Amino acid sequence: MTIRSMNTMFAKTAAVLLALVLTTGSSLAAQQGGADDEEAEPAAPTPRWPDGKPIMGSVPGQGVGGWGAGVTTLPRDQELDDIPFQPWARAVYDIRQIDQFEPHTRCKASGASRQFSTPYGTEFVDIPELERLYIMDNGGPNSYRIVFLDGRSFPEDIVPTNYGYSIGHWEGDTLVVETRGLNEKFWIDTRGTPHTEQLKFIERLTRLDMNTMQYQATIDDSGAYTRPWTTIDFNLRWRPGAELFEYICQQANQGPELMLGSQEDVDNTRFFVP
Amino acid sequence: MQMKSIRSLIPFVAVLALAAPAVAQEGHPLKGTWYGDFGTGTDRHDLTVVLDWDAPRITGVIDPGPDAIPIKSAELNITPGIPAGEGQRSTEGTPPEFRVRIEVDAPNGAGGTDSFIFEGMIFNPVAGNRRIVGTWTCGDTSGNFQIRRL
Repeated sequence: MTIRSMNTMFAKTAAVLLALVLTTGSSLAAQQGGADDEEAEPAAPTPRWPDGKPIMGSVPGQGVGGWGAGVTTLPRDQELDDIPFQPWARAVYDIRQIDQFEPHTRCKASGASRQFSTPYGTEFVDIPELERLYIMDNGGPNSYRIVFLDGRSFPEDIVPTNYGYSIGHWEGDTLVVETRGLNEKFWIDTRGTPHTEQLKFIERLTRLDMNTMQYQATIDDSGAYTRPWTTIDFNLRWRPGAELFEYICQQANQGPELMLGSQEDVDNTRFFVP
Repeated sequence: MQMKSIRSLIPFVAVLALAAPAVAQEGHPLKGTWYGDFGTGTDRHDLTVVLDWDAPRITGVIDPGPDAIPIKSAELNITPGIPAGEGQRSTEGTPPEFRVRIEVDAPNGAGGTDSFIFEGMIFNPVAGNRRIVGTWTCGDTSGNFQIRRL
């Protein structure tokens, strides 16, 4: 079975799943603070620490929660021709729409905005005393990113990694996080928006209220784009009670060929394994 | 003379292939270490190519190590694909084509250099095990080559 026939099977499976989602969507939305719930009851205001800064994660004394997936493809709602791709990057983007060999489906830790696109979301662990914010993957590779909030500068020589080196600062109620030192072993979103090790990835996170985290990213990568460009605003939704759990990405992974095999064909009926 | 020059591209390949960084990456399609062979007919020779994307240039060497030969020029020429039509899945589109041209001036036994031109196409350009297959020429001599990214 090739990846194309796999896609056909995926389409059929997706249709069945869509029907299920449509029939159960209301109850799911109610459980997860979805749109219906939001219309019925306004969200609580943005929680804050004693110094007035927004709390980015769970509120002490109110139980833990996490942020649901909310960031999809970075060029979403923009004309692709308006994205300043270098020619090779546009071609890579185009071919990734056809041959979707995303490293994340092989359990590879995926940083930048890809961290916010997993089915189980993320948990923000906000520790003002340590001047750090941990962004924990729930599911997927089950790893985490550290955002330093202590005013430090970037090291001169950063060894590129999957999550890079993140430094944050506050601009009003918006946490601005710049990440450098990202390697090229992962995709920065689910649809294969290309990047190089020259990427400076700037995220703007604003907790608009208890249930909503606004997210915007600027992609500054002279290796793949002719100029920096900025995404639309995405929204992450608060999921009360969504707590980290053990997740073994490799377990029952239906795409072992993509992890160890030829990477040319895959006997699988789904795109996204983790 | 040209075959001597060809042989000058060969040395230390096994060791160097192990020493070269075998890192799968998802950035520029040419970046990385490529290993394979070239030659004429059944007369084959190992070939290791290390390429990097130093925007806006592709740089690299053949046979990395003490006798590394710098690449004179490298180009990636892209034929755009055709996106999927309205109502089709994105996977129904026609993929772009990635063609490569690499020029190398390799030392020959006479104290000069011979100019090699490698031209090929990248297969599976976004897969971890992408490969380049094509032909090479050096003066009146020509043959084929194939290299796979490590």
